[in-house]
Amino acid sequence: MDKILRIDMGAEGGPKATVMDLGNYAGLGGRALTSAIISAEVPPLSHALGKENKLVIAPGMLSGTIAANSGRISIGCKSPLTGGIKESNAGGQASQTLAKLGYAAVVIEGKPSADSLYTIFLNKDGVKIQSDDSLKGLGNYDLVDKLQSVYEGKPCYISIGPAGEMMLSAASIACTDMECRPTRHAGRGGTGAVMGSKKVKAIILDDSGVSMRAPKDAEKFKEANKRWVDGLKKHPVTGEGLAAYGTNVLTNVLNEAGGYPTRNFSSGRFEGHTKISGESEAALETERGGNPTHGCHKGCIIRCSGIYNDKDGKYLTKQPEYETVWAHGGNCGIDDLDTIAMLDRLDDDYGLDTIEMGATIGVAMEAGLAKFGDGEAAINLIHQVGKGTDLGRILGSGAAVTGKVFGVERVPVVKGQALPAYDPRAVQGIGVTYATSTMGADHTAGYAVGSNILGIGGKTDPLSPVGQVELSRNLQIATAAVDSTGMCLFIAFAVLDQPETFQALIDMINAFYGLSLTGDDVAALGKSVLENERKFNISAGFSAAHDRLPAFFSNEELEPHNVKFRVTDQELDQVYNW
Amino acid sequence: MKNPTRFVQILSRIFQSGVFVNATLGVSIQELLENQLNLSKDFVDCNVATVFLNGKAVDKIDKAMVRKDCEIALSGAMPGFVGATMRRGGYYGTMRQAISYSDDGCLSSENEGLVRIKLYNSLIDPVGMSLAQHGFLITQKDWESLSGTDIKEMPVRELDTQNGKMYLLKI
Ligand code: SF4
Repeated sequence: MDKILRIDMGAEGGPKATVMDLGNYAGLGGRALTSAIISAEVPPLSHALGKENKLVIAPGMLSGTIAANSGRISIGCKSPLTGGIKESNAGGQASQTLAKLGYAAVVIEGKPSADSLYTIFLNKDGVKIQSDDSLKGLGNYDLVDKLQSVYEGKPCYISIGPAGEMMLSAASIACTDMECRPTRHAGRGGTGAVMGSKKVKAIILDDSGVSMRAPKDAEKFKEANKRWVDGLKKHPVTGEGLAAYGTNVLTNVLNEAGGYPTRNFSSGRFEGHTKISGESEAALETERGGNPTHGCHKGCIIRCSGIYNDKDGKYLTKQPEYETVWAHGGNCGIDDLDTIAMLDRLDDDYGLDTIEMGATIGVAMEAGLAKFGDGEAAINLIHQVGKGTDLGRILGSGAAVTGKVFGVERVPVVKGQALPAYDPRAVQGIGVTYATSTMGADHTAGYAVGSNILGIGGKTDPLSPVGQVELSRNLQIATAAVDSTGMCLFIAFAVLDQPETFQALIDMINAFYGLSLTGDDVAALGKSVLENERKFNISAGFSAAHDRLPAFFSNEELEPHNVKFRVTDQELDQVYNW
Repeated sequence: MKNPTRFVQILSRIFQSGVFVNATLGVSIQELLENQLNLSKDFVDCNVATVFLNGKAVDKIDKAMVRKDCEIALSGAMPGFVGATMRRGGYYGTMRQAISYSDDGCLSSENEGLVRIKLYNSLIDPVGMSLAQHGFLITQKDWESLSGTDIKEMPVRELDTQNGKMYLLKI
């Protein structure tokens, strides 16, 4: 990973590829690299769909190695949904493959003047960019099928569906999984719209003839990876819990806590929770010959994903994860797993963020476009988006736009991006993260990644109100650092509970790059990522007023505990004071 | 029913929504789990990671008291940030302070009564088995939802309770 591939889609005479040294970006990977490039090279006030915006695709620092769970890819740009900086990451095969091909990043720049669609093919011999209008309008599944008949071997694909071509703000970028299905999405923030604006329909990555990346100190690396794997395997969540039920295991617990946003955040409990829980989902998948325990890329040993078959035992979609089941389920009053799985399939095919679309349909239901609980109506609304009808284009622009168009007051967004599946009135600490994250409302921005072990920000008293702000800050810093490694965030539990597993992660980075980083250096990396992102957002016009939750969280009590969001504006404004 | 594992599997959905147990009141959740449901201290310490009493996250199960008509939900370790905040005594517990359990000190005048127990994820099988041995009640609606399963063939006792007609299941 010692080079950056820049592709100018607007070059005279057609797209032009240039391979460059890393230069100032040496030593960075994943989110650290995408955010460094965007904040240094994209004018913050530029239009997100204009030629000045860039789409940066970067594997993590440990991607392409034998390190377990190191295959997350970061995709960065100025977001058409939030207007701020964006890093959205995904699993699938792309990160490992791109890293093995030696690219620290692919940067797609400029904008073609013609209306043609392009594919970009990368293998060990170089880059080929071709226009191919026969791909126009294809859903991700048909697209990948078609490309598979063209490209030999077993390449993997990064692609957009019709939503990306239409440049809708909820459009995602799909990455194919181990079975070459387009099921892993960089969903948040409209990255698919930016890829669509560059007229790139698909990137084909072929790693035939290349080997795994070699560490500087192979013995030390192997030994650290062994400790890493042992740590992940022995922990009850990463070793067993996630494999058995996937992330949807959270449905029952959030519901019990009264923090499960139901019917567009109007209450904290959903009466149909046991029908759509992870426990019920896993049982149904097993009964239908699917599989509740499956990795999204080679080298994942946690395997939180799965295969969801329809009533006839035929593949329908990957196992919808917690946020998707919530967004299309409880948030829309829908308690039928088959309906939710179909919505997930359609989102993946049209290329849409499941969280944004679920929240949008919740807002649309509140506006009276459909009744809460009407699964067929929800499916129809997603089809409208895929077909690009006038209504569909409004919905595909996300919850904030839909709320404005239909005059809905209760619109759950921060910086224009929909809130995920945890009500901040019940879990106030996550409200701090939703409000202040550089990304807009994002549950992964402040993940439990062992900030206590890192000791970022010194020792805080977690029981003081100020502690919530400090914890959120520390979590966001630690998350930014992990997002740069290429590690899946679900490693968090093992890292949180087992200091020796966290040490194994640092030892792997050190052995691979010949470094001697400490926990403090990792914290410094996380801080620098957030500082880059924050600087960009301020220059793009964001102020303290954007670091707030919608007013209804402070005004409306959430049943059953009748709680409101109580963290003050002054406290929120302390998050970035370090 | 000959196969207790199958018994627990069939009841998985009902365990998630909650079954009723006749319990000694005025004791802690820890005592209920260990002394009445016969779960070992080790099992409770290592596996019962997240506990709710009437929907509020409990940090100290030896201080949270079992009262008449209360609802207790038990879960194994949960993934993710919010999973970490819900854990009893967890470092991130402050982030869900608004829904943390605090004892109101009220004492129950009765010694025995029904409490509702909900089981989630990795605890459905092992705790479900303990409940099956101890005996528990399910509502008429839940009983009817079992039609077509082997459980319907089991001999059960039908009871009239303050919560309406209920069915006592025991293996
Ligand atoms: S734990 Fe889940 S999300 Fe993470 S890499 Fe494995 S399958 Fe993908």
